[in-house]
Amino acid sequence: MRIYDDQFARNPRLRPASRAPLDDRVIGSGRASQPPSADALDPAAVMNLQRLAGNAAVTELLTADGARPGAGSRREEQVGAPQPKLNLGAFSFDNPARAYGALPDKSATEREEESDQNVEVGTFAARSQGLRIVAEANGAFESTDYPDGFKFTQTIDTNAPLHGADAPYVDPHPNDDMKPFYWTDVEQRMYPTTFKDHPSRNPPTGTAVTYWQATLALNGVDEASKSVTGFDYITYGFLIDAAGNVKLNYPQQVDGENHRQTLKNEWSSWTFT
Amino acid sequence: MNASGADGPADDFVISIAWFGESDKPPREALLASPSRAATIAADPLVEVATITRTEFDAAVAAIRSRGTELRDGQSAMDLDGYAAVVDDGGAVHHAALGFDAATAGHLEAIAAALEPDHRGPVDAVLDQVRALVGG
Repeated sequence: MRIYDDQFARNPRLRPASRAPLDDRVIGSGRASQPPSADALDPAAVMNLQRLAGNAAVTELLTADGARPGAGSRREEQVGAPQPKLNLGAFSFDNPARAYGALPDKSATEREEESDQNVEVGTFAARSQGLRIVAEANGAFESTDYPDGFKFTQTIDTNAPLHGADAPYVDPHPNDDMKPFYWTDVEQRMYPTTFKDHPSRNPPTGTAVTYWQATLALNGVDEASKSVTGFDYITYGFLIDAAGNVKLNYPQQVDGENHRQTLKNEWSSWTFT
Repeated sequence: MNASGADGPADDFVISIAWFGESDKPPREALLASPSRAATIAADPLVEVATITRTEFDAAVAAIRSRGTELRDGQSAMDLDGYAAVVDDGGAVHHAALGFDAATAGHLEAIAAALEPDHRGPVDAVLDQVRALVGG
């Protein structure tokens, strides 16, 4: 199956016509894939995306030149204290038979010493109908303010929530431990600075488009006081139409306000700042 | 011929118990692998690996069959929206749909019971997640 997919991915002549435009994207080249038709989008989905990622992000999704990796960062240069950040190692169509290099830095204003980090993609199981993301925590430091170090949180907004969730919701849902973080403690010990996800959705029926939009945060954590301090936030996601065409919403930084509010709604005994 | 119906090499087999369908954070996956296969598996927080013997492998496959689940040729469809056991015996791949309901827990318990107690952890991890979602 992987070989089959890979043959189609590498040879445009072998691809079904309906999938060709999206598979044509060259990761890291800055060449945009074809956007979904605005007519095919549910107005409610567009509004949700605008609320999550901003008008500019939705505009970019609907225009062929708007899908540049790392585009649109609004992060201002930080000076002084260390600022842990999310470094994107891989963001691509999820095909384990293909390997990708690092993407351009998410912000052209980042300091040089914080750029050009690579994360090797290590996939075991085939996935489809979604995306794969690997992000690395950069600049994490030891501090008495964050005795439990730095951990990831992720929230999801989608018009196809799973397991009875009401969007937006904290990932995972239902939770797999008693804390608001993406990794459990055991998983965190295995991957102290790495975030990996490969969400997927089945193609919707009819003309509607399914959207899946996440906000990922890197946080300094003090579990004794149940305080979580966000340092860096990115939003990313995808749209999938009835034909199975996937349109990626490339990562860009956000202020994290909606993310923190979603966390507060589900974890009222914790403090998210 | 082995329990999976294939004449695979004695030390080249793996059973993957994984979710095939829509997901947010990827569900846990269990890999029950021969020593040679286990040595090639990269560490992943959501994938637990047990190195098993040929006897355990055959017993696990027999357990899958005993539950009335059919072993079909090839990989499971990605839009199964359920768990599946993918049996790879020397490159001969079959899969059995384990569903996503209370019966799934029964299938997983049977597979776990076919293994040595020290090797049941990966299946138990999947089982815990299934029970949390659908009971059983």
